[in-house]
Amino acid sequence: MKLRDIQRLLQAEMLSGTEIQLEKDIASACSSDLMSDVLAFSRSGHVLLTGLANVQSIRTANITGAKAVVYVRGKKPDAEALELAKLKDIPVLTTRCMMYEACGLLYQNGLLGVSLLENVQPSAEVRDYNSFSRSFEIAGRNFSRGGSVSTTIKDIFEDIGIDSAIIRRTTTAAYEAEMNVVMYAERGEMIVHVTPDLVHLQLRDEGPGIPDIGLAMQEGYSTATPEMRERGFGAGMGLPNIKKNADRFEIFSEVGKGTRLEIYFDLHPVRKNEA
Amino acid sequence: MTSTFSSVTIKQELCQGRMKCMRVCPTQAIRVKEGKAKILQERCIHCGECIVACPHGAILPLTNPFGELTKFRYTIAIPSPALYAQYDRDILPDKILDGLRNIGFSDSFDLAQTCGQGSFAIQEYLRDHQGPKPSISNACPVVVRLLQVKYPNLLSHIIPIQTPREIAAREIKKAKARQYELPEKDIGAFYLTPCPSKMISIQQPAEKKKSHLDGAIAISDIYGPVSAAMETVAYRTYRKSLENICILGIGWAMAGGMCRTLHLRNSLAVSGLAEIIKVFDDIERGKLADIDYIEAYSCLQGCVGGSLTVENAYVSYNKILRLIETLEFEKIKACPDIRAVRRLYQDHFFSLEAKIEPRPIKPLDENLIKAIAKRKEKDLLFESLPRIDCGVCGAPTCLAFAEDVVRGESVREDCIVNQSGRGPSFEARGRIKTV
Repeated sequence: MKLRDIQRLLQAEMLSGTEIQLEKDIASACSSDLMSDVLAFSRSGHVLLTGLANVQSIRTANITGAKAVVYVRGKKPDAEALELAKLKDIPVLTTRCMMYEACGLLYQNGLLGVSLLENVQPSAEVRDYNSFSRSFEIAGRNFSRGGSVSTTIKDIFEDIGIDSAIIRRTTTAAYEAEMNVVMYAERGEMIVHVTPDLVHLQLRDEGPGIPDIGLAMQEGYSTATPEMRERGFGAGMGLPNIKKNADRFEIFSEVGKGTRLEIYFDLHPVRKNEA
Repeated sequence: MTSTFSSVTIKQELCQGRMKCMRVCPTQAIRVKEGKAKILQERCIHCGECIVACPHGAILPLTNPFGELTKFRYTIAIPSPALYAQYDRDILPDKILDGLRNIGFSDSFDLAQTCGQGSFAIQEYLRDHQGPKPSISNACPVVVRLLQVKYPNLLSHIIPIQTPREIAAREIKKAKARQYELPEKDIGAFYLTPCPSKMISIQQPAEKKKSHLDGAIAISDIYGPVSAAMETVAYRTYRKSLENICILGIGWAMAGGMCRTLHLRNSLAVSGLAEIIKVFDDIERGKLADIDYIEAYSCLQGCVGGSLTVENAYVSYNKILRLIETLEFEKIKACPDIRAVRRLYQDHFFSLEAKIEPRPIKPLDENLIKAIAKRKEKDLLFESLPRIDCGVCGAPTCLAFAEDVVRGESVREDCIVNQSGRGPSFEARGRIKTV
């Protein structure tokens, strides 16, 4: 599991750290307010979940080789702790989840911890990482096949039993994203990732890239050719529409290389209601 | 799960297990198990494609037999305007309505008049409409059912206007009850239907209320008797007969007829399930929001193309079209009074009596975590299958088979590839007999 997934699952705010650090792979988790327990039992490469918001937690994280620290119940560390975290290059996040809930969410999504018992095995579902992933190729410039990936994705969501209102938002966003690849790129790929808590659509394309993302995100701004307009596209609503339908949306682009979209939808009932 | 009612029945003794129905079913609602076809009610949208496809006539629509009329003291025939397109061009609706009286109905009613009112009512509704666009017609029960099953998000697009057949039955029963001082339960209103799906909309309306109609009789069952009965009908001049036709209502029999009479700036007429699915996919993706109204019929060319009609769909489509053109040319407008319709509309005369609820297909599991696991299993299993959709397992495609296995409704060994070297089990299923 990547730190990005943890951030997503816990709806955590990043207090310190960089975008690149979110790509770190996290192998296990350890949660405690007793730093001595963490020192005794955690494995290197873990994420530390704690309610202890002082500098000791960062020190412990540093010594035990934690890849990140997550403060629960909306706690924020003091200035001294943050300073040390920056110095030691440890990303710091804070989540509104309670400790129990935070642990449950991560465990349910496949992030395991250390067990002192021999026979404790996560249930088959948890062992299976509880998620569905599939990748789809998107052929650029092929208008006649355009939309087929979104249609397949809709069937998958229906099989899984995702709420129909969320299906509508996901398929709309998926369709807009797919058509962007069809219209502008040579080829692309859509990865669908479903866990009990979220739907994550990732799109990567090998295309011209977007020179000014701020401009591209404006409604009505479009670089569509007459051919695209003839087919009913190019109203400049694509990216804004994805953003409107998603719970979270990120876009990364490099001119001449391609574009990557990260689109997230929350399935978690508690958080959905909060939103 | 609410119990679902089927509009078709498969006669087991006639079924040869040839899988034609299974392959033609647009929602993959048919499986062939132990050599016999079975319908998965939850998936069925009652389109009637299987009835037409079966070479042995084993699939029958569950319409009412003509004999049901004797259950009522007073009976009224309410024919779909598609009936008018079944006969020669010189036979106009009033003669057909007389023919219906001759074969044993106490009275017959020209539904085109109510359809005309319906057109005005839809116009009224669309004029002030602020909700999601485009609005979708509810005239075709298959379309409504498709929306319930596959597009629950689009249910809010359906116009909340009651169908003319229901309004006609409701009003005429009221009127006849008064006229003859009969209780309404003694009056039977029968719809003469071009398709089996109307039967289900009577037995089990989409909005879960009781239908005002008491049954549906197939046009194909009544065509012959009416032909014979028309011979004794008193002669009327062609012009006189034309003057009784409502130009607005007659168009309801064919795809595009409603749009033509509604004079909407931006409307679409779609027919055929495959085309409808494409259009609904587009609506769901947020396209077509500039369209005001969509008239959608599951049968090609509209109701004239129904599986229980007699005449070729293209010929009958043309007949209705020519009739409309003649009426336009002759400037005959025997239509309901628009001001009266507006008053009725304000009084909710046309309002749908209840809400249409979604009926989505069950997910692979009620538990989201298990459903995700099963979806993965389905993909894995599918990878191991031959992916040639041979149908021997009894499912229409390998993907559908994988789903059946994951749902626990089939076993892996039903696939011919997974049982190589296990011939006997294949024979045991009775599909191939050893010499």
